[in-house]
Amino acid sequence: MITGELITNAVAAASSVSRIGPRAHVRVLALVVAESAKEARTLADDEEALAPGHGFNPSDPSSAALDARLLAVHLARCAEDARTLADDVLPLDGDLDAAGLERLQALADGLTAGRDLALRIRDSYTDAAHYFALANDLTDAHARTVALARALLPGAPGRRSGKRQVRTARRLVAAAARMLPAGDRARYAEEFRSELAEIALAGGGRAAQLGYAARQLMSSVRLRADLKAPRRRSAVP
Amino acid sequence: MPGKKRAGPKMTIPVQLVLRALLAEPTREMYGLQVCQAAGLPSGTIHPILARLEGQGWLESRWEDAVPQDEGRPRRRYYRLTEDGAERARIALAQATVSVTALGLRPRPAGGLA
Repeated sequence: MITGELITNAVAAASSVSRIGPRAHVRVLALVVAESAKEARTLADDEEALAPGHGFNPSDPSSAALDARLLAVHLARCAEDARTLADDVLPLDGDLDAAGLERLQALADGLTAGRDLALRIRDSYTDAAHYFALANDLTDAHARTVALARALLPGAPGRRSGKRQVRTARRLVAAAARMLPAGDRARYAEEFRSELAEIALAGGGRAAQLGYAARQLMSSVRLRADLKAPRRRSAVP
Repeated sequence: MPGKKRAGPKMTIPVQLVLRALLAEPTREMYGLQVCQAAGLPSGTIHPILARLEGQGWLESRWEDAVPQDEGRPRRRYYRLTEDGAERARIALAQATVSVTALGLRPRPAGGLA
């Protein structure tokens, strides 16, 4: 039974964790590709058992079993590349240098090649559905690798950089927002979080973030009074 | 309404600094931290002032259009003087400047946006 759904869910779950860094992301990717390689190896074994005359024979390039074996070897290599990339090259969080980017793009290219190979043999293989699922997994892994490479490019929108947000600061601004009238809480909670994120992205460390958060908390009583005062609103919600 | 004075914020020094910063480029939208920087005020003082000015109709605000996932942070809340607010701010600042001058104090110059 192909583990495609399990793999896809694992990648999606890992990617949805906002604090996951590129290194952890690629480690998950390596596990996914290793699982795909294992699946491809099993399929190749099965095919060779079913058609002994078409086993792993380099002199018969049209053999589906040969393609399956090549795919298994290729995916194992991709998985190894992903593992070493995560361990040796990728930062825990933040910038990726040119060499790292090149290797990440090579990994994406390798996954593309694996996907294309899986698609090519799916129709001639004993169990095409397995290869179709495998190709889907590799397409998904490839897309995530490319997205990661783009996100790590210097200056890319949404690239994680600067300092991490301090959890205590986040809690303090949340507490400051809770002090406000119910109708304004959501707005100011998001506004405070945004500004805290700006400080962190600009390189503001623990002291800067805690200072900002403490000031918001201290001024929340005043803000509450101002928000409760009779007013003529002109804000766009 | 003729003869009735329109309500306005108390022109404290921090309020004046915020208005001067916003009036330096009246059509420019700024989010809270930018206003802090432009006005030279600590971050804790800015939101009560912005809320007051917004409540009086001198300011308007909106969320930025960007997608938080793309930007890697929650949306910014942008503030800008309303047309009426800009006019009233100019008048109020001129009156406040007279008062400050009478006290022998010198208000900080506007501008200095980052």
